[in-house]
Amino acid sequence: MPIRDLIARLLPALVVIAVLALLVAIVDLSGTRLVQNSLVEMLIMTTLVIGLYVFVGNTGITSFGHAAFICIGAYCTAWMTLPLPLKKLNMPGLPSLLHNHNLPVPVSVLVSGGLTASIAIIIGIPLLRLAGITASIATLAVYMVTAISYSNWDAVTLGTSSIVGLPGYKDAWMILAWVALAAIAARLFETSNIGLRARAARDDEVAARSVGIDILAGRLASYALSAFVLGCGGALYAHFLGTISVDAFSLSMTFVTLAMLVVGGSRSLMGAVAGTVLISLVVELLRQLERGVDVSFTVLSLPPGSQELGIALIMLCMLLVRPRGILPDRIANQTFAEPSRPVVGGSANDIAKEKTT
Amino acid sequence: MKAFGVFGAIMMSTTSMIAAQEPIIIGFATAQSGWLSYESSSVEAAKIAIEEINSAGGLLGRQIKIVEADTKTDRTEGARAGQEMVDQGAKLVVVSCDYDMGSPAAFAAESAGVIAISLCANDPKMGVQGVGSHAFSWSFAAQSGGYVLADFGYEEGWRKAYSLLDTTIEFDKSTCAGFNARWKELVGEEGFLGEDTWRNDDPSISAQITRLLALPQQPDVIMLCTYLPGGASAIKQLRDAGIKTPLITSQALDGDFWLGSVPNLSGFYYNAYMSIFGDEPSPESQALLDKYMKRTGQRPVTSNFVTGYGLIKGYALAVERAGTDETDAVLAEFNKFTDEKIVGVPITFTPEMHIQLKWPALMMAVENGKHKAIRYQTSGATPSMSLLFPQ
Repeated sequence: MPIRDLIARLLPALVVIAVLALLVAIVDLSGTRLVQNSLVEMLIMTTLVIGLYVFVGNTGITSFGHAAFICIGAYCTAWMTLPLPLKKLNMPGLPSLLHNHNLPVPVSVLVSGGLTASIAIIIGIPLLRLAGITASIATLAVYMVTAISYSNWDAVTLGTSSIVGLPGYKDAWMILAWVALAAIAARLFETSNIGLRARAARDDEVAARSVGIDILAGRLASYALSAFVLGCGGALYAHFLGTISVDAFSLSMTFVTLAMLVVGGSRSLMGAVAGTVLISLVVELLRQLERGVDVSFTVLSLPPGSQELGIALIMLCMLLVRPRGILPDRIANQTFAEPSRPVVGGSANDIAKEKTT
Repeated sequence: MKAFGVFGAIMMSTTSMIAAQEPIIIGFATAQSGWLSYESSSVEAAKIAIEEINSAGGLLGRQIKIVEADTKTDRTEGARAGQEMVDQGAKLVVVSCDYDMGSPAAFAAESAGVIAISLCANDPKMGVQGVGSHAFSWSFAAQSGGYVLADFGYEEGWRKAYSLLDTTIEFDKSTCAGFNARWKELVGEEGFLGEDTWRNDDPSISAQITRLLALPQQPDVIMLCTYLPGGASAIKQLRDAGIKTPLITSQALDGDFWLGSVPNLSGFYYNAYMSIFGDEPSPESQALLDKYMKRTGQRPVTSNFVTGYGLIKGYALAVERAGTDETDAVLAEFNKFTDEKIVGVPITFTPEMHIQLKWPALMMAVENGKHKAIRYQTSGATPSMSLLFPQ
């Protein structure tokens, strides 16, 4: 049955959306503004980590360059939504069409994703012919080139200076809708033909080639979708902060998002989201501790920088103890034990059982 | 009915008493760590002002309560810190002494309709045109700093100037743009011998020195628009090359902590907020320095700290005049400020300009490695809008 098939395919995405919706509802009813803000930031990070997961999870290539796509998305939305007088003052190099017109934020977010994906396709064609660590290093080079170009492209990016004044767009439910779209897109992709082929190439490149799988096509498609989601996420992040600068999309952002993915488990969507939620909570906790907590007569506080150190320690422990992520293998693997197309006469669960036995 | 009225009156008076006791919250979204953490001296001075106000009975009879968040000299953290201050009920958010680092927090306040004042950003974009109508800077525009330096050079009798611009940060570009424009106004185009550029992290400026020495006529004064550490290195290279020409520069090279790298420096001039070396001409500023040293037990590293004190005193004045801490009323009072003397500095704001264009700077000289206050200097003119906001 096509609907049952679709639900089976989307199950992990639906679980993720339901859990996050529950969180949003709880915070919406009882949280302070501060908690609401942290939640929105966590949701945006979830979008970014899903974007990263689409590439890393499906191709097995660790990306160190995704901050470049976040940066491209964020600047793109600034070009299309910054109030017109500010845009004329800050970005004299933009075409006159953009000097005189703005797009609504949601449209601009989609366009930002589109631009990012197009750039990813162009650079992906030569880059993704590489494999393994070489490809990872190449993604880092993409980041460097982007960061340096944007830092010096004064006429449209204000160089290393901050662009402030982006319209706010930070309603938790709206952002949740974006997360939902990203999760569904990620899930549809990885259970599609091309997604499965990318995964086959990830698991065994030689075997995949031997059965005639076009490795580049699978990788390129993951890269483009990943860039699209990251571009949209970068745009959302820009509207959340209201201000952007090239150094906001630095290696430390690369590090935090990668940590979220690694801690959660880079091979399943639920793992990626679980890691994001966990690390966001830890970061928030450490941030509060760094600021100091009143304990009866004294204020306890951690030294500045504990936040970064804490995440590094968690990531190290995870890599040593549970390199496949925090989620139990049963749950993480289940997301792939279900076939995209149920075999006649067999339910998804039957096949899962068959495979494990 | 009558009893009800009395009851109502009692209720009303108690609620107004509670309101009167509620503190006015001032938030500090400033850098407590990272390279900008030197601004903590300015925050310290602001706290001195707050303590003075509180011990004198408070502002409108209400105590001022301080809330703080560290921006870690990071723009993203800055935006968060600004939002956090707003969420904690701040009526005024004090933000970092730098447009790039301070504007994210200021914008968070602006979006929430809360007044934000930068400790000492010199970019006029920290105001209506860049951040919004609720943003101010308690300092002068970098371009007008350049104006003051040009007027000083002219009054010293120099007639031929050459500019050496470090293009790494906007502040220096704006300072040199102001100096060059004002110098040409004062002595004409022929008195301006040209401009050369380098970057703060360039290990050597020997090419620039060669070009300077090859000029058909040598300048009477060299305007250096730079900051540390590259600025100190450039000064050393100029002096080592035998160039004894007077050098003038901005407050970015205030303080004596870097003089060890250029021993026995002479013929060096810059503008400061005040002298921290014991020879401050203004008794009011000297008294503030004494208070600061008594409180912290040490001399501030630069004279920047004075802006934090002035900022709080200025805010208190606006709130007292408005009779309330409601944003719109306070903002209206700020926009009416005309030459209000606050710690000896005439402060003027208009609905269009939220940074000073006529700040009197104390000109400092360094002779044989020793600092000396010369005089308070102002410029006879103010920079035009097209100079302040180049497109």
